[in-house]
Amino acid sequence: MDILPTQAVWWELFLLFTAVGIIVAGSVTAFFIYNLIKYRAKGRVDESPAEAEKGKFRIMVESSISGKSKYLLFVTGIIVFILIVATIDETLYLEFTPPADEAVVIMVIGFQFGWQFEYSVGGETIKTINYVVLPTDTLIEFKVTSRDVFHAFGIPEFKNKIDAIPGILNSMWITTPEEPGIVYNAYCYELCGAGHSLMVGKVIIVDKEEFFEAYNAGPEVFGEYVNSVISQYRQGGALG
Amino acid sequence: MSFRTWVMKWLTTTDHKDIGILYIVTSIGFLLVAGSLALLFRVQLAFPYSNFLVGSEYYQAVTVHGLVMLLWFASPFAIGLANYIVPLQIGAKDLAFPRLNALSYWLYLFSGILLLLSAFTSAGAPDVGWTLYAPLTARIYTPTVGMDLAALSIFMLSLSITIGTINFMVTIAAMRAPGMGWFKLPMFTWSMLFTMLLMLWAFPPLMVGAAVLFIDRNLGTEFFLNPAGGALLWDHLFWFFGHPEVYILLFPALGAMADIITTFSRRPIYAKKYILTAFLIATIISFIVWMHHMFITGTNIYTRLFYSITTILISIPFEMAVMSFIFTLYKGRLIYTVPMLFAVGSLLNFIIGGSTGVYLGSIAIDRGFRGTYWVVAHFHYILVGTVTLGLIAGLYYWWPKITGRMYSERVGKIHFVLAMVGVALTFLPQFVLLDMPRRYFTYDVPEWLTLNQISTVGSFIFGVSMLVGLANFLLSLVKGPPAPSNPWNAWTLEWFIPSPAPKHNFHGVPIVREDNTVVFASEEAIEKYGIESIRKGEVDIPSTPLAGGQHGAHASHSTHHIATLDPLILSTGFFLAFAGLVLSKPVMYLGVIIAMAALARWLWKDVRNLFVEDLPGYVENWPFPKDKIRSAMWVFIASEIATFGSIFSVYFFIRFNPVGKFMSDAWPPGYLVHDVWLGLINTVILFTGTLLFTLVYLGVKNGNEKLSLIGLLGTLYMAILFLVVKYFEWGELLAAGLGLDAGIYMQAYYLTTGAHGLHVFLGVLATTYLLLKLFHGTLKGKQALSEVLAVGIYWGIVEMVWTLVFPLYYLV
Repeated sequence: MDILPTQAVWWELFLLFTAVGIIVAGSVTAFFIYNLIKYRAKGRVDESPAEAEKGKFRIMVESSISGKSKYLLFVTGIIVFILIVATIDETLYLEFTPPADEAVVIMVIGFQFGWQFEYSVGGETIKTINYVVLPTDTLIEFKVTSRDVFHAFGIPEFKNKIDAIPGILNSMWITTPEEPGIVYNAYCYELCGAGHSLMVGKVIIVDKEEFFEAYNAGPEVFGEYVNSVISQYRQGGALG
Repeated sequence: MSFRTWVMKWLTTTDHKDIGILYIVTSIGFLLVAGSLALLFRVQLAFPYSNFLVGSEYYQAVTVHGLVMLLWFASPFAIGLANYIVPLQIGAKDLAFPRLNALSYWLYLFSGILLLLSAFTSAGAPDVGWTLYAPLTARIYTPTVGMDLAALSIFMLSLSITIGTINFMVTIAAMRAPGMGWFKLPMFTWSMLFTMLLMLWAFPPLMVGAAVLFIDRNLGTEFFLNPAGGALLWDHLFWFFGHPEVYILLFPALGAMADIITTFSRRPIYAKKYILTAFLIATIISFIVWMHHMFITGTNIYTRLFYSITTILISIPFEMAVMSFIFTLYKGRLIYTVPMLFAVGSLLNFIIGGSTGVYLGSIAIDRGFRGTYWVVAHFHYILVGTVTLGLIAGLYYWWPKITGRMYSERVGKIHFVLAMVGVALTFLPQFVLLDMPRRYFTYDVPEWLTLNQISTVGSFIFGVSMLVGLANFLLSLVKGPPAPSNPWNAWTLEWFIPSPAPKHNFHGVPIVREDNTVVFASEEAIEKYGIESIRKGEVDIPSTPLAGGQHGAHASHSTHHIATLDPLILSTGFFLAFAGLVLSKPVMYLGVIIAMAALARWLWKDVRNLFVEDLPGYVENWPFPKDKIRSAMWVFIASEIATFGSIFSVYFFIRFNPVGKFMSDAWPPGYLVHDVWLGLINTVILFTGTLLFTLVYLGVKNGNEKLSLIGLLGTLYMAILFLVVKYFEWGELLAAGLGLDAGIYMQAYYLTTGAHGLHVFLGVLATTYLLLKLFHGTLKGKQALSEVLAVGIYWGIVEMVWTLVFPLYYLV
């Protein structure tokens, strides 16, 4: 597949923001700290309120020269423009699921407190709770909604996430890695009640060929296959 | 002073300085409560598979921590400082409406108690997070009475905030000392003005949201449950409040920091006009960034992109402000007192907290960060590292002025170092925890453990630093050396009077002359030379002898602060009514009776004209009217626009939400449901009432009491007729089976017309008040005319709202 993985896009943009941040905030901070040290008052600053003694008080109002602010505004404007352009590009890329030859669409339904995953195989729906089995090196599209309250579905390693809102069907895509055997955690990222912390789903990556063999063999075979992978994982056995 | 008189002094005070102190002390109390809760859940997170604080209890701690820190600590703490300092900085004797100021305070205190009361109910405090996301807050998911109490406490706090906002805006707009022009105002006062502008429009949506939430939970409506409104409707209302709220918290801290940095670098603030422009732009943009809290809700991508751009753009004004602060230091002579240390420390934290927030303006990056500890770390760097430390800088800075005593510099420096280390240790590791979900009380990822433990250690160091600071302040009260009037050689008005500020604030009238020197003119001098010639420096008069330095004051010049229990009793009534509404009906009736009695007692004093709400002739008020009551009404109207704007946006959101279109109870055209003619008749009735009110104005202006009487009775008759027609209209609808259970369309109708009807009822009360004044013979003169104008403006907005309600609900 030559689809750029979501996490690669994310890290690229994150590093761009970080580089700009380090240059801008870093130089501002350096200048700030330089001033703090360089211009510290040496010795006692003895400034008796001479004017007050004479019964005169002066308020400070003049804003001193502000010439430098103009250039700053200009420089900041350019930097911000770069960030905006970069983010629009990547945002649109992540927003729409790219077309792929092989893609698996999985329905994700959040509930208090867990995730229900649904595969659609040969006109039938195979349901699993809290475990989902995915093939390697494939584009996966999650269709996400909720049965009760507001949840948010995300798998940290893929740096992608979407809200699970009752009455609304959202979608999110990822591409799975090439190596089978990895197990990811899927978390809920919106407080959804007393059991929010327990909403951890397991995403099990299995070999692509094995997966599609079962997938193409019809709902019954596929259901058995998915269940066997899950129970194998739960018993702590090695994954096929 | 005996103990009894001391207690009575605090219960009855309307002096802005006393109320400022009350606000500060109360908010520190709430800080200790909410801070302790944070330490509790930091303990839970420090140990793997800990059972110390789990499930609902963990979330109760999280929820109360968030709500109390934001709404009952940070904002009121700033309001407390502003209460004391802003009138002094602008040269006013008090806020515009001292009794309303007391009412704000007592409503704030009791609303906080109402929230904390929920922790003592059977199922405990709300456990839904401070963002109160729908539909988790619905009764079917959270049946606890604690949730109802929380909704009502937020509603009550919003009332307090709205009253306070009006008070501050009128004060700053029209009560400045002669010669104190807009650009001569100190940065702290300016920042409070921007804060008030934000509060004015940010709190009404929250107030409407809390009210609708309460109605949903108790009357069976389903605004936040029905997918046509639902989670996203709450999101919009809440975040329209929520994002400006961040700047509501931030601005006061930045303003205090600006004043402190100016004083201790011995230089004027760099590029003041750029900073003010930046604040203004940030204020405006802050109302169009709220959807960045909804970047992954799946709403239209191009709408979200717009909000992404505005969010990244808002970094520019703040960058300008930060750079101006840093340029102020450049070539200064920096004196590192404790307030200065806290100010530069919080500026440093602001750079960290601000630049880590820019990431969150990108939708692509937000897909990774939403709901994680990166977000937690970012906003705590702002709210703790910048806002809290910045306001503590302000407290240290103004402490000598407020208490008349100095604190220990050495203990203050220990406080500072511990606080900075605490913030860094607590929140820097959380930036690294960028995958960990927020609000998880347990986790099974080994790599997260050490970082969480460092964070917990940091939070305890921060907790200790706060205790050190508290000890410093308490020690200073007991045995701190007396403070001189201007210990910092500062250049703002509050430092030119003795410490603590005398009861009457200024001895004589402070006049800012054109060369920026200040003279405290005696009344004789003003009479002799006139304000203008003193201001222009044409005559050189000596300041009144007690203006600076010495303690003590002449009683002859003190203003009479009103001592009254009315605000306290009224707030107690509100508290009992709200608590009783949820917990016990008899208590509710008792509360309603107390509130009504207190209101009647309050207004009866005004009927008799016991207090003169007038401005002295010399105040600086350009470009606003020299009329407190009318100005206050205009500010109130501005907040009403936001209130009804929120209610109408509920209408538009539900009506045009594509999700709703697929539902059985889709929106019917109004003319099929309602009696258009009845609505039209009511429109005419309301218009006639308002027209008749102009007679009152003419009557009072020309001293024609008969005309006033006709106008008042006519307006009252029409307004009551309107309510009666409404009553029968509702009755007919209910009889036809179109009650609250007839779907979201009817619910929206009852919500909107109900809110409007409530406003008509309040108008009836105000008109009755004027009628009583007429009977009492006090409806004459300048003050009566401003009151009549204010009530007239009010009837105007009531009518304008109806001109929107009528077509939207009856015609289309």
